[in-house]
Order: sequence, then structure tokens, then C-alpha cells
Amino acid sequence: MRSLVNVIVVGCGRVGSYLAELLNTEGHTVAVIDKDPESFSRLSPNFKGTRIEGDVLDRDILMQAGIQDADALASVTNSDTLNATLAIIARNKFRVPKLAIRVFDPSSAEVYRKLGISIISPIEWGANFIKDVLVHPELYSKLTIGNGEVQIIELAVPPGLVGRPVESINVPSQVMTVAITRQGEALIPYLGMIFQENDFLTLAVSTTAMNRVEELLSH
Amino acid sequence: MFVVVVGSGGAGAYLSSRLTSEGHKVTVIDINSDALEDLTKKVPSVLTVMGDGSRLETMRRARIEKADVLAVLTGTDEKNLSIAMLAKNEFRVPRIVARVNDPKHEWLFDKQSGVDYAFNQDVLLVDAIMQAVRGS
Repeated sequence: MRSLVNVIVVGCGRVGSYLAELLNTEGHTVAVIDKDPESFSRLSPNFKGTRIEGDVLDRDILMQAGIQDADALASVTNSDTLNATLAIIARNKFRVPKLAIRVFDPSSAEVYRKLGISIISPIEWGANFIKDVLVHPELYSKLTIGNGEVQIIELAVPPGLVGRPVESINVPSQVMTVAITRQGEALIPYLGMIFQENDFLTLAVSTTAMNRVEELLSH
Repeated sequence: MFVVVVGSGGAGAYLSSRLTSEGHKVTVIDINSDALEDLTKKVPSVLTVMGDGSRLETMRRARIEKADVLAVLTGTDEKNLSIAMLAKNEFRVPRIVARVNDPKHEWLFDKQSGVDYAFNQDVLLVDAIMQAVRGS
């Protein structure tokens, strides 16, 4: 069981509200700060965290959010400068151990990283992700399990496999077909199931067997 | 002295005219090109850089690493703070003066944030008025 933490989320936009809900679902203590009270309508009625309306650079507001006891702070407002300033304040003045912020401008992302702040740059991340999809379109990782020893990958059925039995690509301890999506519906493969055109495969692959899978699927 | 000023509003414009008249070199950064054009009409000897003063690229164009003093005068406190932090950490500007717009943010403008001297117009004005009130 993971230990529970006190987290402050600054900005209750799409990312902030989603993050706050995720943390709340895992049982963490969450305080969300936003200057716009209407932004809290993005939170579900089940959200048990604290909603704080106000200016996040006001000391009283930060104290109200419990910044002295916070284990982590995530700042995801749409202002890069506000997110960065806040992270530095949280570190310097309140010794908050874990800090993560969103920064849109990749050129400033590099600077804040140097200052020891974890930067989530959606633009860099998106560009890398799209590059992977373009350069390795056949094998893109949907999910990694453990420390990445096993990956869940998704791909369209390669033409060479159409008409062959699903179990022909399963290799014990290396590759396993987890699901086939056919005509918009996902199925766990049944015995004797045959690959059809337009099938979409979900495979669990041992990372060490990735090259083998690439080879297997190229036939 | 070489002074970089961020923000060419009333205070920025008046400051740069005073500084240049005393023989200092001044570069003013502003995101608004019209404001910079007005400024160069009034104070021809000033250099201007158009851009977002909180971006490194803009700071580099203004040769901020050579500045003896940086005056950060935008109307947004988080911007002023992040400019001061970057200027101190990345460019080692020796003296940084920053404007506090909202008195509630004054606690943030300190050496930890890269600010050597902070001032708040409202507080200065109100203090002066209070003195006048008490003195009468």
C-alpha cells in the first residue's frame, strides 16, 4: 500500500481538476486552489478535498491550503510564470519536498529544471509522443507494468497475420495477446480465434522480447 | 551604469528618461511595440527590446548579463517575481529592484526570490498620505 500524502493542486482547469480527482480517489488529502470559483464545478460531487478560492500568491491562501504540512504541490494554471514562481516559493519558503509544474514554453522549461523543479511540458511531451508514433508506428507502448519490464502495446494486425490463429504469436514468458478489438468491440481471445483484417491487437510484451516481437510482426 | 528596465509604462518611461539624463545606459524591454515607439520618441537615447521579459531569449537580447541594475516594473506580480528569479539565477544581475503591485504579495519579494529592493507604489503613496493626515 502506498503511503498517503497531502497535496496542493493549484489551478482547477481541465488538468488540475482531473489530477485532484485522481489523487482524491487514491485516498490522498487534496486541497485545490483557484481564483475563479466557477472552476470548481469541474470537480465531481464526490470530491472530498478542500476547494479554496483565492489568489495563490496571498500567504493566507497558501496557509489555508495547508502548505506548511504539504508533501507535494502541483501547479497547473495556464500561466507558466505563475506556476514556476509558485514552485520556487513552495520550495524556498515552505520546504515542500515534491514539486511539479506545467510549463508551456519549452525554452523556460529547461531553466526551471535547472532550478530543481519537475517540469511537465505538454508541448515537449506531445512532440516526443507524436515522434514515437511516427517513427515506431507499429509498436507504441500503451502502458508499462512494474518498472517497465512488461509493456502493453497496441497495433493494427499486420497483413501477414490475417488468417492465422491468435495463439501463433504467443510465446511463453515473452508475448501474450491480451485482447483483440474487432468492429469496435474488445474481446479476450478464445481458443482457435483467427486474426481478421482490421483487427486491433493489444499485446503484453516482455521488454527484453521487444525486438523479437518486431520481427514476428514484420512477417 | 547599465540599467535594464522591464515594463515601459508610466514608471518605466519616467525612470528611463531620468537615468539617461544622468548619463546612464538604459535598455527597456516591453511586450508592446507601440509603447516602445512612444518611449523612443520621448527618450531617443534609450535602447528598446520588444518581447516577453520573463523569457530568457528576450533577456539575452537585452544583454541582461551585462546589467548593473535591473528594474522590474510590469503590472503582474508573478511576472515580476519570475523575471527577478531568472535574472538572479541565470544572469547573476547584481542589483534587482522590483515593483510590487498587490500589497498582499509583498512577502514574496525578497532576496530568496532574487529581489534586492522591493517597492509598492500604493504603500508609498498611502504612507505619504497618512503622514500628511497625521501632520495636519
